[in-house]
Amino acid sequence: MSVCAAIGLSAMAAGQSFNIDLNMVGGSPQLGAGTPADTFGAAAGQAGYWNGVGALVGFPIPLDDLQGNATGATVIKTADNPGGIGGFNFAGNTGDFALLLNDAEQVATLVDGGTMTYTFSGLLSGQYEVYTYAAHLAGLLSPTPVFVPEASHSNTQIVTGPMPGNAFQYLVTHSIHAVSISGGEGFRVSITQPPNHPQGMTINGFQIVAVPEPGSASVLAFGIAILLCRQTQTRHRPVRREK
Amino acid sequence: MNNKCIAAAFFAVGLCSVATAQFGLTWSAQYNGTANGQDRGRVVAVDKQLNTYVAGAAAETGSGIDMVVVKYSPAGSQLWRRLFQP
Repeated sequence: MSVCAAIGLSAMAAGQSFNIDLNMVGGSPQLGAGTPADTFGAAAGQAGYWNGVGALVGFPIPLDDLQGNATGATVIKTADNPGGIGGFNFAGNTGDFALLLNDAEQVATLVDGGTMTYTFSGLLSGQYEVYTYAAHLAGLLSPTPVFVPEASHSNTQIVTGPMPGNAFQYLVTHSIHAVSISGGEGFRVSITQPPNHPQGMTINGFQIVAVPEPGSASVLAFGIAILLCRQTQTRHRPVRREK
Repeated sequence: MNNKCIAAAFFAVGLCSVATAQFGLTWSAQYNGTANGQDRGRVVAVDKQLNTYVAGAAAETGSGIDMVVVKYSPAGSQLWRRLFQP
C-alpha cells in the first residue's frame, strides 16, 4: 500500500516546474523591476521561486526550480533585432502583478521588426503546460502570436492585451501550450513582429508547469484508494473483548 | 507630462527614463549590446513628438565597442537603433 503511494509520488515528481520573470534590473517595483514573491502563483496558480531573467541574449541562462534549487534546465534567447527590456508605470497593476507584467522584453525594434525565440533545454522528460505572458507592458491592445513549434496542438496562440489590471485572462494576458518532453529535448517559444509595428510586442515572463501523466496519476490514485480502504477497515474492525 | 530623460550607466546596460512632473517614472528602458558587455548611455535628447534619443557606447559582437544611437517612442518602446564603428 505505502509502496504504491510511494511509486505514485515518485512518478509525480518527474518533470520540473519553473516560474520566470523577464526582469528589468534597477528601477522601481511599479515599473516592474524585481521578481514576484514566492507566494505568487500567477495564472497557473503555481507558487514558488521566480527566476529573474534579464536582457542577456545568446547566453544559456540557468533556471532554478520552485524551491530555488539549481537544475540542469536553461533558457537561451536568440533574436535578430532585440528591443531590450523595459518597464512601464501601468497603474492597473500593483504588487506582484506589476512585478511580473509591468516590465517586459521587447520582441524587436518597432521600425525594423524581427523574431525573438526562447529555447528551453535540459528539462526532465514529462508533460508540461507552458504559460507565456505576452500582454503589452503599457496596457495597450497589441495582438501577439506566440508560436511553440513543439506544442501538441494550437501551436500559435494570439495574446491580445490590453491588461485588465491585477488579473489574468487566457489569450488576453497569456497563452497556454501543451508540450511533451522526452529524451532531454527542449522546446521553443517564438514571437515574430513585423516591421513598422505601431506599438510593438512584449513578453513578460513564463510559467512552466509539470503535468502529472495519466499513468502516474492513476498509480497515485490507486495507492491512495488502498490507503483509504485500509483505514476504513481498521475503523470498522470489531473490537475483540477478552474474557 | 514633463519629459525629463535621465541617462545612467547600469552595469551592462544603458537606462533611459522619462519622468512625470512629480518625478514619478513613466517608463524605463534598457539597451543591451549583443556582446552582453558594458554599455554606457552618454547623451539624451527629446524631440517635439516626445520621442527620446539616447547615444552612447555599446559592446557588440564582432566589432568591439561601437557608438550607438537608440530612439524610443513616447511610451518607451525602442523604435530603432543604429550602430557606428569608430
